[in-house]
Amino acid sequence: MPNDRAPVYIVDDEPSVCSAYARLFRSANMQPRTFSSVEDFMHADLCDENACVISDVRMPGASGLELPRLLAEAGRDLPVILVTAHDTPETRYRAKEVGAAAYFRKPVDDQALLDAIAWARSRKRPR
Amino acid sequence: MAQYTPSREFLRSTRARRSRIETDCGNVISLDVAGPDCEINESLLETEAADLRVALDRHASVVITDPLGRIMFVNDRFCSISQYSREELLGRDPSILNSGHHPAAYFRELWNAITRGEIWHGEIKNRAKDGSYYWVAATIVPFLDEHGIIRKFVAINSDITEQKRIEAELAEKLRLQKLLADLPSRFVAVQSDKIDTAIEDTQRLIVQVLGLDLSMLWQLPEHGPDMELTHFWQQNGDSKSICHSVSGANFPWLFERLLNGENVCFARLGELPPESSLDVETLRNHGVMSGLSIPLIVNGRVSGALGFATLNVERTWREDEVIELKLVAQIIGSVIGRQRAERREEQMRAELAHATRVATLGELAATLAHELNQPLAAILSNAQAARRFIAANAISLEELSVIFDDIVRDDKRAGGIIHSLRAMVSKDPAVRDPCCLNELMRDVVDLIHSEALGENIVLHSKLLPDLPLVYGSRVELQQTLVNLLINAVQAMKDAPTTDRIIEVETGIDQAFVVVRIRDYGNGIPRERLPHIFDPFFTTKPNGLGMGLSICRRIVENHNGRIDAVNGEGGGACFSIWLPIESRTACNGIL
Repeated sequence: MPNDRAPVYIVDDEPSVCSAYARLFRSANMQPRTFSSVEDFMHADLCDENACVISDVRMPGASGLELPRLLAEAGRDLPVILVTAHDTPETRYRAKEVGAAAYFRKPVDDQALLDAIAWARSRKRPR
Repeated sequence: MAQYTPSREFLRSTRARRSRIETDCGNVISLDVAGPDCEINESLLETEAADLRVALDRHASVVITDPLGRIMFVNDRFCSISQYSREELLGRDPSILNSGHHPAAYFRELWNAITRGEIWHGEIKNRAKDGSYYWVAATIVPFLDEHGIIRKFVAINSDITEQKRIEAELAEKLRLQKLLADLPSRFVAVQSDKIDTAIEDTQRLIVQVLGLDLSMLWQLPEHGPDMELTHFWQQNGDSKSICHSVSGANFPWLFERLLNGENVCFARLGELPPESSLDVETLRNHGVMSGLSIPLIVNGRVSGALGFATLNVERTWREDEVIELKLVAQIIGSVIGRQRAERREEQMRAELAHATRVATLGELAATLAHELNQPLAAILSNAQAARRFIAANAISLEELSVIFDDIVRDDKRAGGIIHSLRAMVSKDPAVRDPCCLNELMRDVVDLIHSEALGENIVLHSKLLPDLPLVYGSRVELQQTLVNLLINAVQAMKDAPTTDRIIEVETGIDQAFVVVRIRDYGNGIPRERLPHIFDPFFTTKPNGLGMGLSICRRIVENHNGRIDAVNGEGGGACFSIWLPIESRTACNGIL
């Protein structure tokens, strides 16, 4: 896959989770970058081309559920995949409602996550 | 056979000395029968002396010794009461009769008095030849020659054994009555953990006062068919004592009577009916010769028995004793009733505390799932990343080792959370150790961390380094901290978004470690402040209202104190003081 060295942005307040995901994405030939909060991520100067966000839901500061809206408000078009350790029907429903590309419960299987990233990117491209 | 030869000598001396002899009854036998200034009729004198001797023989035992205390003469009564023959006694020291009852000083004083020429009066306990004891009231008169040198001693003794027995019985009755009079007060003020000791003390005192050998207290468990021995006292008890080898099943007849509410009293085994043969055999095997058993009534139901027994000696149980001991059984019965009620209450409290811990855990379930899923997510992704790198042959051993280190760390973190959960649902919170409140607080903050996160609350911890340890139950103290922190989180629910802070602090206040948990919620309404630690007091719509009352009970059980105030600038501040266990600080923590 020639264009797989595309960026994956990881937003999670848990350093060990960030570094584990980063490794996973590197092993799949992606370019991960990690952020400990939604605010950090939103303030960073990033290339959105072919990129994708993997975000936790519950974090200090803004919730991952606010990301799609914040990105839209900033005029950015990035698929957001939500991965949470706090899986409730309500969170799941809200994830769908705010327009997350996918929703997973931690711990998440590598293949499922990688497939979701591939799918999210492919879905974005025709738009 | 020795003849009563000293009579002449006796008379000569009396004539010379004009003696008076006081008998033990206080009568004075006047021997004013002769004197240098009066003429006497020798034969009249001899007749009177002979009569006197007969009368004296009827009344008293007489012994005459030489100046060194060797027996020179005894009368018949002396022989019959001491059971020694005259031959056995003559030439011997009267100490042959020593019972060992009196201290050596008693006889030393006696000897000093009579060798000074003084008449000695007193009571002496003697031992007869067969080993039995008898008491005499003795008067010992020294006889001196014209130079004032002691020639001999004459002792006239009255038997007061029966009088002594009655006196002893009376004293025993009085001691028993005094003991019984003290008994209710002995139990009224007693703390519940001292009740068992108080019961055994009572058994010991009764056994000692009545001169018995053992006392046993049997109880019918609340859920069980067989009597169990719960309290026991054996005078000079040995390891072969009855309590170690006998179960209630060995006394089928006895316990049936007792459970019917009857007393069982026997002076000797022979008094027991044939149908009690199994009981009698058990009693005989243990040397029990007499016994008294009284049913124990607890809350209106026969729930045990109080027994007393003598070993190797028969004993008649006087009616007044039986009545007094029934009173003892009544008092002990009511004390045991109280003890059982307290134990039930304690058990219920423990169950309630456990239920509250489990309920707290339920409230925390989502939080805990989050706390566990985080490390599990990291572990899974690390492992799967490693597998991919290996499959692609794109990783060095060094990198792989870093991944494994991360996996191990996250695994330990998950294990730690599970460990603290296990403590929360533990049914046995009683184990007490030196605890570091910083460590407990850190665990609890970790546990509550995502709960607070969900409410957008920031937890500020200010934990004093090198905090001294406290002595206590980790489970209970953790439960207290969890309770207070959850309360703080819940109090913040309606607080304005700006001040969403909970401050957690540890420190030292004199001899106490103090923990403060401060929220910036709406605080506690002033009129409710005095009641918030009462049971069933809740400000939460679906709270049980037990949380804070349990917190207080736990803290007070640890000899500590808990307090709540409203903080300046809003919110509530809970403080806990726990006594410092030692000056050893929590090393390696923080």
